[in-house]
Amino acid sequence: MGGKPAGQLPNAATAPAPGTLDFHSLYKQEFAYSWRTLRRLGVRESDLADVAHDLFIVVFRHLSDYDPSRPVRPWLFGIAFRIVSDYRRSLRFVREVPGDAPEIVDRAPPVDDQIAERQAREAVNRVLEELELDRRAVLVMHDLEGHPVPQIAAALAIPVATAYSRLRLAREDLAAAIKRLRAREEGRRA
Amino acid sequence: MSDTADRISRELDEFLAPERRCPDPPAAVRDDVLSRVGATLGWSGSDPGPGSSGPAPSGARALARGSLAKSVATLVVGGVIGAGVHEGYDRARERRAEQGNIVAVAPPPGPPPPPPAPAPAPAPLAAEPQPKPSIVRYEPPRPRRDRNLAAERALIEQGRTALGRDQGDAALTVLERHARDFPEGELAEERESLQVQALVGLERFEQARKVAARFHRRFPRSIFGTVVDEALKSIP
Repeated sequence: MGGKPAGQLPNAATAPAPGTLDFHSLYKQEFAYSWRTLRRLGVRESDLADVAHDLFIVVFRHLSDYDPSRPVRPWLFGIAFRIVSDYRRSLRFVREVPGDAPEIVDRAPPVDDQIAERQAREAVNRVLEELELDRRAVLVMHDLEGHPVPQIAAALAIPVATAYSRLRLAREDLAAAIKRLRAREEGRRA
Repeated sequence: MSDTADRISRELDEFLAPERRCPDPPAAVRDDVLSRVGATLGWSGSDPGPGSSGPAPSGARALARGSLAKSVATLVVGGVIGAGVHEGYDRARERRAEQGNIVAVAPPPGPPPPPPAPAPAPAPLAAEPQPKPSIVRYEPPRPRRDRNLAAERALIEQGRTALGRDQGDAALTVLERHARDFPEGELAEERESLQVQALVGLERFEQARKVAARFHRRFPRSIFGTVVDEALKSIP
């Protein structure tokens, strides 16, 4: 896969040294990862702070259950996945109010490249939205965050073969969604 | 990537590349969420909470014995000093808060409130609980707990706010509702620790001791154990 995600710590895939994980260190190190994960799993910008809050409450409550011999990010992802599953179920009953929260954007000057980059990110997230959450989670973990499949399977409590299968299907879905997106763009330009 | 059998196609890889480069959220957002987490867990105001200066030795339990315990113990002392029964709890406001997940437990300004109804029977306090370990292993499929977390949080925050304003009755009412709605909720430990403090504040010492004993049975390793013990120590 491609490059490392932005902001990833050099040793993020490795486990923290035994006895060094406390809530605040974890929070500081992994907030950005958790935020990105929630967004990539489909949490709306306007709900990100609330859902991140809930995520870290659960993390705090279960911190003593964390096995420090294992990488922390898959553990966080597993919790985030459960929370987002429920969040998305609850969304079925909530009316969308567009534009009620600003998107977090770079504070750098809005030059063309940055606008294009942001639009490209928005396109990624629009396309991801077309994927089933189970497949989307595997794809996000693998193709965006770079977790190996066995780690993903453990984090999501699924068999390794299932994780591979979901990854393959997610990529097929993604490729089809990209085609649809490009067809729509072509149609608008025509 | 160690999964050589699962190389992503170049097209997909290029499509996803901008998302891999997405910027981190601003520090202000991170700090805001942390302060909200702290408020839910009972950390004081702008105190970044325990462990902020570096690694702490033993995770959550170390937190409880640090500033968390101190800050909540301060609340207990305030509750004892100001222990008055505030009968002017605005029930309509409470109902609105319940429906809208809005924390609103301030005493109503202006005209006096209606005479207080008898306090609801403390069924959740009287009921004998099932023993339950305070720390459980992580189990993936628990949808109901997470779905309700926001609603739980709203009630607990109402209770904590009321307690901080010496509105012991109001705090108990909200906490008993939490006990009814979420008997095994994610925030059950917080609820019971707040109940002990509220009961102490209302000088219902015997009941406070009973709830505290039950709390320790249910949550023998709770991070709020220190807070509960501090509340009991303040009983004259």
